[in-house]
Amino acid sequence: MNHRIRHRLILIQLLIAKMVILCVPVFAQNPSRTFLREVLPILEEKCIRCHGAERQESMIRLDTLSTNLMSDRSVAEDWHEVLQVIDAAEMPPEDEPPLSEEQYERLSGWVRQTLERYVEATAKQNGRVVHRRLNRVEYQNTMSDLLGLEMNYSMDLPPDSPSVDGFKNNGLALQMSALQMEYFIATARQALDRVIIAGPAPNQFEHEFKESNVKNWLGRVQRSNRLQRSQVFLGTMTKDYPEEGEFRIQVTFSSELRPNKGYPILEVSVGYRPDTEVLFRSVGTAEITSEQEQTLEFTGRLENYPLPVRGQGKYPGLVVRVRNLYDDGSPRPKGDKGVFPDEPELPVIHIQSLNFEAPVFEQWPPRLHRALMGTASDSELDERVRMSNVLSRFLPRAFRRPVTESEIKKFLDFFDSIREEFPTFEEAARETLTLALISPDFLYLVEPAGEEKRPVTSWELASRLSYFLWSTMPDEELSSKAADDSLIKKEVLAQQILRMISDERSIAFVDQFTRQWLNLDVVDRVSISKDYHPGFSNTLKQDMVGETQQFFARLLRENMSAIQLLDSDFTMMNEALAKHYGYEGVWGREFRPIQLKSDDQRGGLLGQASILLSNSTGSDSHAVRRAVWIRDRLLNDPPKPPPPDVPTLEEADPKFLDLTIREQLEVHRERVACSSCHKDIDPWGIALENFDAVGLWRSEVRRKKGKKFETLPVNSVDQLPDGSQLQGAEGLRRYLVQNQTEPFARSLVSRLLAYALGRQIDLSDQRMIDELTLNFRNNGLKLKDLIVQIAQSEAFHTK
Amino acid sequence: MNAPHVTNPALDRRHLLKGIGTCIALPLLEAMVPSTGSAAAKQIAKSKAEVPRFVAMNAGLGFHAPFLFPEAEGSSYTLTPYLEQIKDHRDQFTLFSGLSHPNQNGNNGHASSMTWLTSAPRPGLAGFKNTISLDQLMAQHVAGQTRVPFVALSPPRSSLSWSSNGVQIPSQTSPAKIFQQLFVEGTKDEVAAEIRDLQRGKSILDTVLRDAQRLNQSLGGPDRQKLDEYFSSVRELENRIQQNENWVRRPKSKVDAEKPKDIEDKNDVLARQKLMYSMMALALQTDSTRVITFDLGSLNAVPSNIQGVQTDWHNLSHHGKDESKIDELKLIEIAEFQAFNEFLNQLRGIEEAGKTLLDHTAVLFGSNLGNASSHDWRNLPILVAGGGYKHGSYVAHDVNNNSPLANVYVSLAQRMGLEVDRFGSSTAESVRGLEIA
Repeated sequence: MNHRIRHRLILIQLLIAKMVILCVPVFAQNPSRTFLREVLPILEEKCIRCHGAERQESMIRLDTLSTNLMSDRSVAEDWHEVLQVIDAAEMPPEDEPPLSEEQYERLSGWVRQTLERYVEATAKQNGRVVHRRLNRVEYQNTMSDLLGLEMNYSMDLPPDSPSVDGFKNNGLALQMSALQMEYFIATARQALDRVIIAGPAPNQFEHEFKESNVKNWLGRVQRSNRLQRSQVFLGTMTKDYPEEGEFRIQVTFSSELRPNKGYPILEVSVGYRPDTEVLFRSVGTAEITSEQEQTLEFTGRLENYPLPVRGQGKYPGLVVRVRNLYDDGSPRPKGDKGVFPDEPELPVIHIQSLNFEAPVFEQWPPRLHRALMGTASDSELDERVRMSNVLSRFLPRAFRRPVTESEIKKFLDFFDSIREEFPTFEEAARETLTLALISPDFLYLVEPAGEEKRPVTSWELASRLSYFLWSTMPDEELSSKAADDSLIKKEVLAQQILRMISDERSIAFVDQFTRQWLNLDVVDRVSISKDYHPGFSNTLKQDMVGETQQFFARLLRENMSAIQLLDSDFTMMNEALAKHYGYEGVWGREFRPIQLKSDDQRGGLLGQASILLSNSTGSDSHAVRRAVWIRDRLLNDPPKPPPPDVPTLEEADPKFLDLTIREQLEVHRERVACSSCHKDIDPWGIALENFDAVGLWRSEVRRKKGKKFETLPVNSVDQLPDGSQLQGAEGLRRYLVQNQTEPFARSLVSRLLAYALGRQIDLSDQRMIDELTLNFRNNGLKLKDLIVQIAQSEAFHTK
Repeated sequence: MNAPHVTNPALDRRHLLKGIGTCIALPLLEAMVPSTGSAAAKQIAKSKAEVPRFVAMNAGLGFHAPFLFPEAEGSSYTLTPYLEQIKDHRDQFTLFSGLSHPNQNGNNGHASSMTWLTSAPRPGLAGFKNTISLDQLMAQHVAGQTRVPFVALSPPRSSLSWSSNGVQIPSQTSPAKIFQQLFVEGTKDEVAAEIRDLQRGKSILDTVLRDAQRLNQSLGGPDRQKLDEYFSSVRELENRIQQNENWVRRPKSKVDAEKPKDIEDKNDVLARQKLMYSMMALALQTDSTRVITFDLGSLNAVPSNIQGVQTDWHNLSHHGKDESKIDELKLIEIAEFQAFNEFLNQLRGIEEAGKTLLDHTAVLFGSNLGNASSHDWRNLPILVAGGGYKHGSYVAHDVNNNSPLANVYVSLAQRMGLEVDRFGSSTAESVRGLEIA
């Protein structure tokens, strides 16, 4: 047998599919006797010295590892790991005598059989989706869609804890506490309070501003109708304005564009609350690409904005601010006090007029109220009948399934029991609907089932699809396919999946999946050193994340090959990012595909600043972090975390700190304790050493020494344990595309499946992952097709 | 209960004034009810003055051990740079080394912060489920006796407190909100509205609970667990509402301090710590709560307003023995010890029943990392102050064979009046060097 096979992941693929029963006498009734006689001696001879009582390399201890897999899932994972490393001949390590042919067969045979038995025995319970709570994003989207009301529903909710593999929609990881329950009640009441109104129609106000009023307000910056960089136009209402309800702002303007500059960006904000830190909140922004006069409309709800406290004399009342947000980053000229400096080379917005109306409603009570509570004629009816009508409309949408008469009756009983406490019908109705919005049927994706697996119903499938691809409740069309039970038909399902991917709501999937899979949120958490990168603007971080998400979105929508995540000849850029990367002629903030220069070493995720920055220290690159990221996120083979007694780097030698990272890691790897793991970590990151902390190409590493910088050469060449030389970023890409396509494809399949199902992938899923991976590869790694396949897979249709 | 004058020498207003500088004056605390009053009032006055409290502070990025631990054990140790900052309280604290929870390898280097107060093994790894944290066990015990059963504090996104189902309890991040909740009296209408809301909350939760039976029928194991988690949070909220209802009717403790403004600069860690500490002192002193956890936080950014610090804090903690990084790290950690010192000053400045608030408050201060640079979760820095223990020493447990930190927790739980003889991974009811005075 070839003991030095490196394509370990291919073997694993074969592993469960084949399930070769080797000629080892196994006494099924008493595996532990077999174990003691046949297996333990091998472990004792070959493994225990490093994985026993004295030392637990890679945190694996074999002499006490239970053989009772049923009792503890993690034991099964550990044995699986054992099988992987002996199959790949990674263990025993090179410098130790290998397992004999017979020892290998006996050990691997026993582990394989034991695992197979475990998978069989647990197939009915394992790999099951649990009732999972809507996470913050899903709750936000679902409440907005259900009530039609724009509001920050998840503001007070604590962050959701991610699962081990980084996903925030994992049913087991999403927990519930009394505090969350409290927020759910308060949020539901607050939202329903805004939607369900009582009493007569309020006064409507309308103001038109032809010029920026209150010219010397705060006295610092000149206001004008002609807006240069960051200049503002203010429409201020001191008295006649409401404090709640929907508002509509119309801005009529023209603009002056400039050659070789970006477009002006018009931002509308509403405020102003001087006693808090939040003076204004942005209603929206628009990039202006034409000089023509035009009118744009912005809407929102006043109660979402920092409104002034009435009667506070020092500052004027409600303020609508229009601002030209465009900033090319050039230094600002000094102007005279109170006069805005002239910048003739930058684009300008001319405000003709600003119109403000609130509260906006075409009739009273307003649309959202009627959608929930029915039309005015309903108010003639008996209250109980009215409430029953409201519930029959609301509950099926809230619970994402049909509801029974007896369920409605329960809510009606509640309504009856509380009606007297409330002065009006509307208030009692609000409280009754609040009850629905804290019910598990709303807060969780409920799929009632016993101990055994069963196929999902059409309604459950609709919710699964909708939360997978849109992070929100099913829309009307999807619900109708559930209602007539046609969704379980293959062609209807396929057509719905494609419709959902094409729909713009699928940006929720792109956003959530890429954030969690690629760990993009870290971009915000790494602070960029002002010393090393003095010109770096933090607003660029959003553009970096944007590049990666738009890149993924393009591959998805165009059904392109996912191999481009490893290497591509294009990436997505907007003006700010193009400037960062050194590309000319890209204007505006919209992302578009840009053909990469042949020598520019970008392409694929590993050339994208988001990935490079989030795995840096903010001052410099971080080869180990980048390496771990590649192995975890791209290859689904994360190295074990370092043991607690890991020795620190060579502090005693003052020269150590003068070495390049590559050299430091080399010193580090000379230590046996470090080497066993780091020889398969460092090279992956070393290859990217030409990219600095903010993702720019470099041929020298700058390092701060006292107040000055010294430079060291970049060395980005290293060797993987299998002997492959990685020559810098290009070499790494080539290696990934040529040698790691299978593990990468499998990794993407596993992560997508974990996200789609909202649960962790376990051993019992391997067979299906094999199948999906095979199809995915045979189909040219087409991304959209893979999503369709996953949504059609057996696991996706099984509770 | 309304007697405005103070005659109980055990709790003199002037002592309160002394305690927190100008921060507090003339509070009309229940603990200050005159001893000449009714027997019941007397009872309260006595018990409140001697009630045990517990606070725990965890520094997620650890403390650089060479600057903390003295060379030799015992009571005549030489002060180290960090201990120098709290030397005024030398007789009131004990420093331990050689303590840790076993089996804390986790899914990342900082995973043991989840289990610092719980001691559950394998944080974040497959099959991990957290267990109740020490503070929550205590909070269950004293629930209802104070306005809030516990306070969990931290910068956003973290918390030291875990419920009995192993659910992380979201913490409060805003000192202004805590002040509002504990000390700002609502108007008559507001209080009436709050009571009404609480009652409505109760009836809505009642209805939800009655539905539990329907959903729980014939569910598979994990689904049932999820629903249990849901219903137990409903039940817990119901209990809390019940307790709140009793407290809403009673006037809040009056403090002379202004409602603080939250510190907007999220990188100004020290200002945030100090403000939180003074809220904690207020809450303890007024007996608004008896159990507080405070995650001191960590930052992937440069802390503001610490002279000489220019580097990202988390990065500094991974100093790899780089002298210049250690120098900067030291500045931050010294500042943290200074803030802690101010907190000890505050507790010690408040007299209660002839002793000080510090005597009645067991303070646990430390970290879930022994060496943050290498994510070593063993040999944790653990400092116990106050709480009626014998203090003044540095106690070094075995570096290679650590004593269970949970043994300390058993003792702390017992100090709070819990009749327990074990907690989490404990093997004994205390550790060497932790003895009741």
